[in-house]
Amino acid sequence: MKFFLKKFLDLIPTLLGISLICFFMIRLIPGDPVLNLVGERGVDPVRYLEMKKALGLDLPIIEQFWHFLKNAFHGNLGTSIVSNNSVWFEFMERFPATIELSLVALFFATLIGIPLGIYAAIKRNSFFDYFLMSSSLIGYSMPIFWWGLILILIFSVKLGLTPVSGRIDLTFDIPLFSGLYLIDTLQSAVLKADGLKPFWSAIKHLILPATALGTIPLAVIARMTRSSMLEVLGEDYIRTARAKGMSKTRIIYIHALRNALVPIVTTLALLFGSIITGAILTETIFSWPGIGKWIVQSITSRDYPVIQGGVLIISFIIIMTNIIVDVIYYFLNPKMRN
Amino acid sequence: MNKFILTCVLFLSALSVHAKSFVYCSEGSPSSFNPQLVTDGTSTNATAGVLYNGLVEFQIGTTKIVPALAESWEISKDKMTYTFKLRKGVKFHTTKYFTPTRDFNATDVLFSIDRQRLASHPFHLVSGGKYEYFDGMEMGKIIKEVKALDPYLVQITLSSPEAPFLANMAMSFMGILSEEYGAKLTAANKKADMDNFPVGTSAFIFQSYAKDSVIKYTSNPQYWGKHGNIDKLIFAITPDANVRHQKLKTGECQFVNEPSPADIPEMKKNPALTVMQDAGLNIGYLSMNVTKKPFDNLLVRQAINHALNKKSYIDAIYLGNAIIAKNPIPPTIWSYNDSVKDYEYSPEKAKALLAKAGLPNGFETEIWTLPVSRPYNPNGKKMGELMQADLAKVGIKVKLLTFDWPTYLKKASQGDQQMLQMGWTGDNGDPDNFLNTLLGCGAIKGGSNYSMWCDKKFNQAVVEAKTTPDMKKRSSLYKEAQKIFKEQAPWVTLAHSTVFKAMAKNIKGYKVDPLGHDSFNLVNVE
Amino acid sequence: MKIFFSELFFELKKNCGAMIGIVFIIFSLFIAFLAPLIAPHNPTEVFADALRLPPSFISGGKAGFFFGTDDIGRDLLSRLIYGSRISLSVGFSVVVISLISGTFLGVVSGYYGGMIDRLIMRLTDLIMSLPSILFAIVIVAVLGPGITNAIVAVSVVAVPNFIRIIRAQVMVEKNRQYVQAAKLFGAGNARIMFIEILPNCMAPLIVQASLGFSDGILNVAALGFLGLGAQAPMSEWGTMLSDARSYIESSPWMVTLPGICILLTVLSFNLLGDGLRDALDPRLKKQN
Repeated sequence: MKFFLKKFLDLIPTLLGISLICFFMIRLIPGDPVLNLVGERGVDPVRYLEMKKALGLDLPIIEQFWHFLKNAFHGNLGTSIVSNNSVWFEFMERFPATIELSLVALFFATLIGIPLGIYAAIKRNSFFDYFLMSSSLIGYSMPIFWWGLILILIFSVKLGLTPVSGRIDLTFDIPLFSGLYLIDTLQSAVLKADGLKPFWSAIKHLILPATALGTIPLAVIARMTRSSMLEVLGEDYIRTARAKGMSKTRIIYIHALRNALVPIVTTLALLFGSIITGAILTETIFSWPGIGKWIVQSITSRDYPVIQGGVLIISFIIIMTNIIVDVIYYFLNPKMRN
Repeated sequence: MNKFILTCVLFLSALSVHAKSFVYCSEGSPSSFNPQLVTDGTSTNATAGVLYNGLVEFQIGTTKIVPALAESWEISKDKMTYTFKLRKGVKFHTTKYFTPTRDFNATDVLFSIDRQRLASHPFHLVSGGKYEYFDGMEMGKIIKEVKALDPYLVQITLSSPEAPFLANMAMSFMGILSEEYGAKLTAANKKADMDNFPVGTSAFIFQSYAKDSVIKYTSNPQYWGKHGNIDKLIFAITPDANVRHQKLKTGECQFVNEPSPADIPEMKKNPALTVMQDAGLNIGYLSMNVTKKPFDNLLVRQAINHALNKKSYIDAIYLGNAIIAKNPIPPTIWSYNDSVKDYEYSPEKAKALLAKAGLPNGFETEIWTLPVSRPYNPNGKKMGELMQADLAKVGIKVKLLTFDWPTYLKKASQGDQQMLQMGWTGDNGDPDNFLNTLLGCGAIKGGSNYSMWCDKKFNQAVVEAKTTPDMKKRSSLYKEAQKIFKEQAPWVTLAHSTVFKAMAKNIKGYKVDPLGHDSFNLVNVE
Repeated sequence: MKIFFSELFFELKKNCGAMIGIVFIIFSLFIAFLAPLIAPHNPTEVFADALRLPPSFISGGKAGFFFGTDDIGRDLLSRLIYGSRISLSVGFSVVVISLISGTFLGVVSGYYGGMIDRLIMRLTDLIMSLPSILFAIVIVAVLGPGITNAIVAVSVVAVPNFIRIIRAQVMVEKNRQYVQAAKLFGAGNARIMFIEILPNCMAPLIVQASLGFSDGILNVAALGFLGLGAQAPMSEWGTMLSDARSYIESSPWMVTLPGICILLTVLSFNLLGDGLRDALDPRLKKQN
């Protein structure tokens, strides 16, 4: 219990620090948000001051920060200067897109990565092992902004197999329920109107971005599984089991894999942070309407509330995932409890 | 499980024939759904183009003024009073958030004009209270009074004769909003919804909008005018020109806005696509700040005119899809002065002029490069690199600079620059909209005369032309102005680009609009 | 120290991947240093009559331009060659900056413990809880786009890795006997930290430096791709890639070639880093 309490207490200064960084760094960005707002033909000085006041940008900076903190604590992250929507609303509008993409990418990376890693570990030093390890290193070194472009060039433009960008064929009307199109397209109203077409459309749109985003995690998972399996296979109890004459498959899948999974699960969760990073680039390339694209765009338009609110939520999510990982680890690994 | 598959199969087979949808790959999110508040083409296409009508409009594909919500109009002899007879039986859109109980009439016209004109109007300050176009065209000054003579007769009195007034009335910012909707929102205390959840009179009804992603419209069954067969109009917001092209090829959209010049040859080759083109109503130029040294010296400005190899920009930046500009207005506008002679490309002459100006070894300066891609200059950065190379040949060392677009405009209108790339697409097809708006003395304060150039003779000509009703007289005044402009050389006129529209073969009835907007009212999907 | 390196090299020689990495790194260093001699043209020279030429070995190409030209008629091969200068120096600067600051903070944090340690660790937690590219983007947005600012941003993001690694190592080392002995002889804290302990933390540091190189190159290229890195007319690979995006169909070589250059450079540093880790990690060593 003390363990959890300490974890949560650690959270407070980190979050405070992040809000501080976000808030002040963002105000150092050159460019005036009011000017961005008024557009191409300028504005008279009186009106300019009025607008500045309406946005609360005329207050001393410390006061602005205090307001921001107070409101954030109440769950109010402010309103976007550009769209006049609340930051929370804009976030929730886009977050499902990012989650859908990230989860699918991670799912495929795991589904393919773990078996490949196990097989490489069993066939250690075989041609397959070398091949897998070198290609995973290539995957790990891949500049995904380039990789995404090449995937589009080959599969969408040249072969015409997948759509170029977006989440779904826009001619379908999908009432939003969870925000995840893979689920929403299966609602009875949608099925009645268009059958499974919207669902396939959503899947087709997901394939390329998920591949691009999943490449690095796939490489990491395959390598991690391999080394973790190798380690476990070298442990005494496996040797004992082998000496006892247990079947090889049983040893590998029941005993070794179970123990090897602990570090793999941890890696998986830690990959979440890097997936969010990858999502920023992937979403830019595939015009995926998620939070990565949202933040990058708000930086170009100097949308202060969106940047500070968005960065705060994203880091909060990453911190929470790390804590959850710690907790899982705590339960999976009895050594830590003592 | 089997049952599930069975039902799915049943659903698939029972699929009804799809409604006619039309997906338009647009290049950005609109800044508002109220045409009074927007100035950029992107927002205009998403608002005025599909949702609203004005009293008068430009006929699609021309700059000819035709009746819209006004059936006819009369202009008094002294050119000071305009009386518009309104169309009867026009219905505002019925949407999820508003059901009109009455037809369009004069109160809506007053509401729409007064919102922009009168600071005391209850809606004036909603959404920021900034009406860039209305103010920019000085409509507040031009209009003295607007009044309803009866529910279907509106009279507008001007403070002085204004030749381009009717053309201004046809511009998108004069779109008519519903007064009844305004009253309803006032009662519900949700005035801002006026500009986010639009209600208009045109061929399409707003359905939904997800920022940076998609706008959906359905066709208006009660539309008063002619319209094509599109049932669902969808704007797929796709900022990258290259992606728009790819989506057009894969059939994810039927029409792309602003195709990149690089993709044009391939689009033309593709048998599944139609590419339309039209001489754009635009000018791309390099402006020299005549208040900064050494550009206060006419010889230096002329030297720079000689030093730049415009032909190479047309090849590399516009990929041949533009003509070299010699005047500040494009040749498709009346009063274009074809007798003006351009400064030819000649580094030798440039050097000689520099030497005459007392700068035989050249000088160091800055060029600001356009941070956005526009038809009049598709790639400012690359053009800057070419200019840098050209000017280096005559000894002028150039540093390239740029800022984000709003900062760029703000700094430029204050005159911080030495040279900068700029351009303009006409709003109403009147030469005044180029010559006076961009080069008049008044435009220095207005912030769109980036050269800070105020020439007495030039200014006199354009101001006189503006208040003269006689077309012949106006034309000769504008021709004279162009001659003075060329001699004084405050700009290097670069290019008038060709505007391209690319669409799927089955799209029929689309017309290219010289003013650069897209209208789908008459489009048919076959 | 000398023995350490010769032993390391002996181990590395057995690792085929690492050797490939080293060979390629040396090769690119060679190209980078000799760029003015090797490059057939000036990387910023514009050939107005040679726009978007394909590589010379493809039909339509011209003999003078081996890898073709870009959209305003600059020789692509020369730009790529000069680009290796930029990428390698970017990687180098990122590693040097983050290594020095990370090592310093890590040693101090691990050695002193207590308040200083907690403060530094909180700071690393903070940076690590922000997605690296996002944080780098915010930094560049503040400082303004440009190659120097991109390097600074990417270095800041890389520092926590170094801090954590060094700190963990120092916490183990500081209780060793040789440190106790040095204390007894009256050595000052600075001496103990940087002269006694630090050399014994070299192994993980070398591995991290090599991996940091590849991360640095990749991140700066990503910033360049987003338009926040190197500015014109510099021929940085990521920027070249993003400039060429609109020609991906009509002139695919303009996109393909810079991407391959980034991939190969990053890959070779990762190969080296992997090899170093295998060679230096005693536990893995025992297993092999």
